[in-house]
Amino acid sequence: MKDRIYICLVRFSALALALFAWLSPPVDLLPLENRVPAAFSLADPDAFFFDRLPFRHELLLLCRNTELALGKNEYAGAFRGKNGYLFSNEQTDAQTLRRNLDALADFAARCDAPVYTALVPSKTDALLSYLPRFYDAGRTPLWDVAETAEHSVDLLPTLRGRGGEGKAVYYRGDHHLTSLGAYYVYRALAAPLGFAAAGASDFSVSVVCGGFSGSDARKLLTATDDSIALFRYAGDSRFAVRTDGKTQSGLYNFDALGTTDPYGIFPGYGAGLCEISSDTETVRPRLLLLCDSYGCALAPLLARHFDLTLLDLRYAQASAALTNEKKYAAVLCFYGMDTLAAHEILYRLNV
Amino acid sequence: MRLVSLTFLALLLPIFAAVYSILPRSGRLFALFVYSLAFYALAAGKAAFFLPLLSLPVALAARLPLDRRVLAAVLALVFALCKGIGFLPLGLSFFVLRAIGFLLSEKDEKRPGAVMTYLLFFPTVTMGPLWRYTDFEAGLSAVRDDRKIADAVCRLSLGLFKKVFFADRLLAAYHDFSAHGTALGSAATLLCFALYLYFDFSGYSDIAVGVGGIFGFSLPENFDYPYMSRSVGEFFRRWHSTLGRWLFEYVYLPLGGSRNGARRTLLSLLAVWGSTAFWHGTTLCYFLWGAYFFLLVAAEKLLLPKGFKGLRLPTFCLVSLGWVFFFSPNPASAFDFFKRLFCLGGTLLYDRADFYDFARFAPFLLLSALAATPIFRDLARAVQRRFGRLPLRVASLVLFVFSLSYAAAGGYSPFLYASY
Repeated sequence: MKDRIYICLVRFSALALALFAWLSPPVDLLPLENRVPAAFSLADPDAFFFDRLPFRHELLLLCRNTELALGKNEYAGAFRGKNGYLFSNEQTDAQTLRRNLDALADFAARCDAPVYTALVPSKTDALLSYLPRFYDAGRTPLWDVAETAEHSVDLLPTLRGRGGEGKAVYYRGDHHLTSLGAYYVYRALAAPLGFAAAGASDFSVSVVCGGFSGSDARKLLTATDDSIALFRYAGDSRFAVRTDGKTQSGLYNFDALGTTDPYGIFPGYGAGLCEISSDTETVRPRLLLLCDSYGCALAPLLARHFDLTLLDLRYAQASAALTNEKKYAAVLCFYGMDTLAAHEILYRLNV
Repeated sequence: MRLVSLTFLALLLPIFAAVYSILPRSGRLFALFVYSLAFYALAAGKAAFFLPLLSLPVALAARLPLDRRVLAAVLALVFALCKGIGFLPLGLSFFVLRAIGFLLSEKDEKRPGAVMTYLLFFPTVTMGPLWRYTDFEAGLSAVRDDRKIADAVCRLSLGLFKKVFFADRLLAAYHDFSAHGTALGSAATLLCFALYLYFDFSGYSDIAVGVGGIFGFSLPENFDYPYMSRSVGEFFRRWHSTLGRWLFEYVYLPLGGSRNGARRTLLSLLAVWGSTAFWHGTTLCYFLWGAYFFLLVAAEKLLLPKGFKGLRLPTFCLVSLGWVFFFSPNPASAFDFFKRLFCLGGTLLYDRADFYDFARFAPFLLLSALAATPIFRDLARAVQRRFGRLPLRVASLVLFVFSLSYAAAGGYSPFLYASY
């Protein structure tokens, strides 16, 4: 009798699990991963069920806690470093980076404007003193390739130096540069791009979001106490930001603060094409920023000196921004090393 | 659709089992046939027609004007041809062995529907274990036994845990260590692969035995803690033992076995290891793998005294070295691996990355190594003797929840042997 009860219990629990997944109300986004739940497909029906399991959060926490208890110090590709810093790495390879940089060189050869490359180091590249003991990302070959890029500006010494001094150049729980990190990058770019960088005192720092848990924290199913600060200056609300066809007044999208990803406050986040223009009548030089989301924190600072076109080739075709390529004073390739060494995207410049 | 799939285990299996349990015996065969065809159609995709088609002449063998041995030879040829051209529908390798075994051992006429169901029986169709038609017939007429079904559920849960918790984590560790270029990293790679292969395949076998048991079938055991063996010969009696028995019965014995002198023994062993290698794959690495184990087993058989008991650790090391040919894509890569492993050609003994990965994986590797020994089985038996079956039933539910949490976090990798 006991066995029969056990069999029935297992059978009904299993069926309940499946039916719960099937009948549960639809969700727009999975809060932990910040992605849309998988749709049902016969090729991989499990993905559908896994995204709709009852007690899904608790199950994922159980998995994470077991992994951490077993000493792995890693979960879902993110790992814990020192001083509360969380890290993650893409699967990168030097050949992919080489092909991207070759495509950029082809583009530079036929572009009238000078083309600069400043690849953004990941946290594992820059925050060496916060990495776990014995950790070695083995990314020297990537940076050797990066040196050969078109008018390369090496950001590694700047960010390593400032990071080593204990400055918060990256968020603890997110892979992006903080506004402070972006400010150091802005200063490093001043000489090559030919503008006079504003001093720190020319900005007012305004903290707009506390308790920010970014991508690394979400992967590890944990929370970090990062704050998003903006480096503001007089007149930054008089810019027009046109993102994928929608226009917004002012550099920052404050509506994003109430969402699951407040990093979206920065202009151009998650968009293929974003144009930032001053409302003054003075004609300013325009900079084409080929970038991923790292460019979003830098854009407000560069906007002091340039009108900007942010083009993320992961989401947009180059033709959308390059039809008037002669209007650019310069082109800056500002992708994260993790992006360019993991995904082949710059070939789109030449399509 | 795979046997390790939440959709199958949580949705289809309970429904299949519930319907099956209320059917009269006369309806069971038909139900199993439909389940098996549906499962295979979902699992094999576009090539799903092939095995059912191939099972027809086997099922109708008694009515065909063709000697069964000729039909078995034709099947072997079809298999060789498919291997040669790289057309390998899911489960073909296991299907062919089951079909040949059936043709050579069952002389009387059987019900074609039963034979087809036996050949396509869903728990065993993709990766075995290999079993006899008579056991299938016995299962069809078995009386429902709740205790056995409950034990089978526990077995399924254990298999799922082995796969999702151990095998998939070991595969990740194997990938991480294999990026190291040091001797220590290579040794860890080998250890991870050896354990991964064991948990992946024995996990599947447990699931198959469990699913079979839920439907009242007693499937044979495939693994008996093989890494506890004291000789390579013993290892292969405890590792994928249903394949070993099949080869013994249909290759080794017909060729004379060990009763006709050393030369005949060698020839029989060579045929066994040649077939094993070919059955696994047609690349040179598989033949090197077969040759390596042929030499070890032949040396043990011919040079060591009967009843010789070796040591476990050297046996484990010898067996693990053989796996290098199993995971290497080509001989050059295998020999490169050996060079790194034995610190030749300027290979470093260790580096920082080794320490980092050892720190991350050491407790898990230790747990895996322990789980590959009978310690936990003995513990479970002691608990059962003292407290009855209830704690084990509860433990199996806990293992299921753990498996679910790991699968939800990262899905699961395909079974390695499903590619053979």
